[in-house]
Amino acid sequence: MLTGLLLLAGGAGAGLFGALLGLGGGILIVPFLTLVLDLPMRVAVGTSLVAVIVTSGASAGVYLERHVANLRLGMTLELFSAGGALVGGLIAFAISQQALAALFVGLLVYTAAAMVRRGVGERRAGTATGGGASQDDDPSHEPGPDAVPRRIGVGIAGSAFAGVVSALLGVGGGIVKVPVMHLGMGLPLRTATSTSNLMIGVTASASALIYFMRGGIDPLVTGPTVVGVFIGASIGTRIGHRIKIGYLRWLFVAVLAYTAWEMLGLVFA
Amino acid sequence: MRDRAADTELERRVGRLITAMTRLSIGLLVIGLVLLALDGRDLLAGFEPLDLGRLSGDILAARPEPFLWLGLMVALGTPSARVAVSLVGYLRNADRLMVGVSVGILAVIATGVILAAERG
Repeated sequence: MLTGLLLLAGGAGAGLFGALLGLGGGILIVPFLTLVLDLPMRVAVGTSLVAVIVTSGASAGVYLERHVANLRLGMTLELFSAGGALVGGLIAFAISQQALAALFVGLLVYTAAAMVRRGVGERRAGTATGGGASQDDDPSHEPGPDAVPRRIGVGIAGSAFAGVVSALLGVGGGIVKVPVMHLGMGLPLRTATSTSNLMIGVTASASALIYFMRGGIDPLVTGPTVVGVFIGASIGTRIGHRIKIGYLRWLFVAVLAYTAWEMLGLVFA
Repeated sequence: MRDRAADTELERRVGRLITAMTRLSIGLLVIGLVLLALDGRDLLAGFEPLDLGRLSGDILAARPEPFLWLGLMVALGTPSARVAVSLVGYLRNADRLMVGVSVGILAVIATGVILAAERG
């Protein structure tokens, strides 16, 4: 019972933080399950992938109904992200848990650095208006989901790489896909974010099904965690625009740095 | 050939499907969690593998695992179902490029499942 509440609360915290800061919950779920509950990396990654599919579904459906995401572009790119995820899912069972943990530490450091860069940039520009919906605030006033993407090759390569990262580390891969679509393909940020969110479902399911078939998904752990993430992400989405994320971002950077340090213990275990 | 109105209608239909399946998945997981709480077992003590033959009997016996497994399977199946519905829509619209893309995605997912099953 206590473990169930812990999983629910941990999932909710990861989902809330993730939604407020525009990251998926996966980046916190894997460390939570491995460091706090001492679960194997692969079970943590499998659990995280299912949580990522559910949180993606919760918002992707709305984005499509409101014609914010671009289904055509998303499906074209997810052909390659799913291919990357297939490769990553198979690699994940071929390499050691320590190697997986080391890759995850790299992802944590990269994410923390990206958030520091963004925070410093916003502070310099004086635009730190805050709000978890910052990724949705598109100042460019470009056309919506019908904007014509440029450099499709960049999108294909980025999507395939995002698929590998997603499958190996149990994250949605938005941290790769959004910059690729926005900066690399010239799409409006809102379209890039919502289309990436849509793609996450197929990308994560391509590898999650491999984890599922190979016994890497524990229903007793995954069930409470997924429901917790769903609740946390739903709350985060609703309150995000009312919260200034300036301090929250620096707190998150500290959490990521601390988590990376702790996960180094798994690398050398 | 691209028909923008047909694309928008397909996006709405796919969006509704994703939302409905996500809600169904969460609903099944919540039922499983309530039954699990009543059961009071140690969640980290390991789990029984999915046995499809026992699924209906276990549901009638109000055991938590089948609801959790069903919820997880609905979640895992949602993206593929979304691609399958898109495939039907693109077939109706005679959009050959997107039919090929949809079939390709389903083929990649199926390949992963087959390879995982073979390797156990």
